[in-house]
Amino acid sequence: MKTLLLFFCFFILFSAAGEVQKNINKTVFDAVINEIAKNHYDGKFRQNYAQKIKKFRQIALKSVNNQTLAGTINKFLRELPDSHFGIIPPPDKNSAGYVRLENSVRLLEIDGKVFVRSCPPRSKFKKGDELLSVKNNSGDKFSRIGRAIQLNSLLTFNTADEKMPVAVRRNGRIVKFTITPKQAEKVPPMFKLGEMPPMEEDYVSAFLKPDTAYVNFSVFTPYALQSLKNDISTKFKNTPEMVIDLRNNVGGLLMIGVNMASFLCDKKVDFGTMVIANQPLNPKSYPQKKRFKGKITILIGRNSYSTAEIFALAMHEADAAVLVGERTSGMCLPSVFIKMPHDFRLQTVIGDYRSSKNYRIEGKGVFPVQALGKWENWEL
Amino acid sequence: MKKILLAICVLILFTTVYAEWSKEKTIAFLRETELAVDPQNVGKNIKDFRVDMDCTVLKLNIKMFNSTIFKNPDKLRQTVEIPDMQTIDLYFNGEKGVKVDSLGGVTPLEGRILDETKLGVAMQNPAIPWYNVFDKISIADELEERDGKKYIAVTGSFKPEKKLNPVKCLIDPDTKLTTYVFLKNLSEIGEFESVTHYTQFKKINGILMPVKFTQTMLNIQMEFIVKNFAVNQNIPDSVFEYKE
Repeated sequence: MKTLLLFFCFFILFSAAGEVQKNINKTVFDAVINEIAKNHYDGKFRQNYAQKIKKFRQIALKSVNNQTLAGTINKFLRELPDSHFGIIPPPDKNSAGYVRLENSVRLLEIDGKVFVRSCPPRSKFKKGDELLSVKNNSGDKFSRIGRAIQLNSLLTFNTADEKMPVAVRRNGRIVKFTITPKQAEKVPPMFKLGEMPPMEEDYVSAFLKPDTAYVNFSVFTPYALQSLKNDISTKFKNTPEMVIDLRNNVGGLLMIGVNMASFLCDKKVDFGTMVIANQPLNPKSYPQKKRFKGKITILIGRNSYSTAEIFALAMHEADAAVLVGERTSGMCLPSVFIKMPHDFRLQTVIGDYRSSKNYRIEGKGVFPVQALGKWENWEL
Repeated sequence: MKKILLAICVLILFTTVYAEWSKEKTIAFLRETELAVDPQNVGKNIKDFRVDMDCTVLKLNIKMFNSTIFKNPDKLRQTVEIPDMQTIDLYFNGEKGVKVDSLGGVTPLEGRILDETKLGVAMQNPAIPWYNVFDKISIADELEERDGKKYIAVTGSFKPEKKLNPVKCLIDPDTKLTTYVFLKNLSEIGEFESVTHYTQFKKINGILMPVKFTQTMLNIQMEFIVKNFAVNQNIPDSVFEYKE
C-alpha cells in the first residue's frame, strides 16, 4: 500500500510538471507566432505559413523541456525563407555551463575552407592550417552561418579544461592533435544591449604597408566605431589607403555602420531604405571634419552578415569603396531581440531592406567587384 | 518633452480658429483644458525648467535617460543617454540647432528638421498656450474611441507652405486632460508616426504634469517616467550653445 501511495504521489507530481511544461509550450509558441506576425514586413505571414505553423505547433506542444521547445521553434524558424529569426531558451540550470575559453586563434573562411589566419607562436596550430574539425565537428556546410564562425564558437565557448580533438590539413597532410583550453582569465569587452545576447567585441588595426592601413572587427558596435575614429585621427591620419576587412563580421547595429561612413567618406552615403511598420526609413551618413581622406577597400566574404553587407554595399553604391573578396551571406534584414514569456528571447525580423539602388540583399548577398587577388596572402 | 507639455495648456487668445465646433465653444473648451492643468496660471511665471526622465524600451528591455532643459522663450537642450553606449545632445539657441552624437559626430539641424524643432520648442513654453503655435485648430463633432473610452479629438495644423505635420490630441471629456497625442515625427532617417499615451499625472509646482507615459512608434513601445522636475533655476544661455 505504501509503495502504491508513493507511486501515486510520484505520478501526480510528474503529471503536474508535465502540465506546467505543456502550458509553457503553448504560451511560448503562440507568443512567438504573434510577435513575428505583428512585426513581419509580410502582412500575410500567418496565412502564408498556416500549415507550417499548425504542424510545428503540434510538435512544440509535446516538448518535454524548454531546450526541446526551443529546438522545435528554431527548426520552424529555419524553414522560413528569411534570415534573422531565432529563439533562445532560458539558461538550462542542469547544463555543464560553457565558459569563455582562452582562444587566440583567428580563423578565416575562403571558398568554403577555413584557415588559421593567425595564432600564438607556441600554439599547436600553425598559420595557414586548414581547420577541418574541432571535437569531430567540421561545421554544417549547409547552415546559414559560415563554418569559420561555427568552428570559432567551438574553440571559444566550451567547458574549460576539456580535451578537444582537432584536425587540420597542413602542407597537404592531415594532422590531428588535442588541445585543452583553459577558461579565459580576462574576458574581452562584451557589447550588451537589452535582450540581445552579449557580443564579444574586437578590433584589430595595423599597417599592411607603410601606405596601407588595415582594420578588422567582427561586429558593428560602439567599441569598433570608437576604435576606428581614434585610429583615423591618430595613426591613420595621413595614410593614403585603408583596407576594412569584414570577412568575419556578423553584423550588429546599423547606425554604427552609418556613423562609420560619416568618418570615412566626404559625401553623404545613402544607406538605402528600411521599411518598418509600413514606414520607410532612409539613414544617411553626415560627413565629419575629422574623417579618413584616403582610398578605401572593403574585404567581404561568406562570413559577412547583415550590417556588414549593408555597409559594404552602401559604400560601394556611393563610389566610396571598392569591394574585394567573395559574395556575402545574403542574411540581411532588420531585426530585434524581444523578451518572451518564461524568459525565452526571440530574434525577429521587423522590416525589409533595400539598398539605395533598390537591391534586396537578403537571399542574394553582395557581390565583390574584384576577387581577393593581392589581398589573398596578406600578412599583418 | 514637447509631448509632455502639450498637456500644459495655458490659454491666451489665439488668432485663427477653424473648427467643426463653433469658435466660442472651441475657445471655452480649450480654456477648460488649461484650467485642468494650471488652475492658478502659474505657467506664465516659469522662466526655465528641467525635466529628467527614465525611459525603457519595453520588450527590448533597453534603458535610457532623457533630460530636457527649456529656457523661455525659445531655448532648448535635450540629452538622451544609453548607458555605456551613446549620448545624443541637442542644442537649440532659438535660431540654430545642432545634434551632437557621441558616436556619429556633429550634425547641424537644417530644413524641415530645424522647422520642426522650432515648433517643438514653442510647444514647450509653459507661458503660452500650446495651440497658439498652430494656424488652425479643429475639434471633431463626434467623440473618438480609444481603448474602450471616448475622447474629444483636437487637431492642430499649419498653413501648407510651412510643410509641418498636423498634431492630433485626444482629450478626456471628464478630466479635460490630454490623454493621447498622435503625430508624424520627422527625423534624419525619415518620417514615422508616434502615439503618446499619458497614463499618470501629478501636481508639481501647481501644474498637473504627466509623470508617466508611453510612446509607440515603428511597432516599438517606450515607457517614460519623470524622475525630477525643477523650475526657475536661472539656467545660463551657454547651456544651449554648442562649442566645438
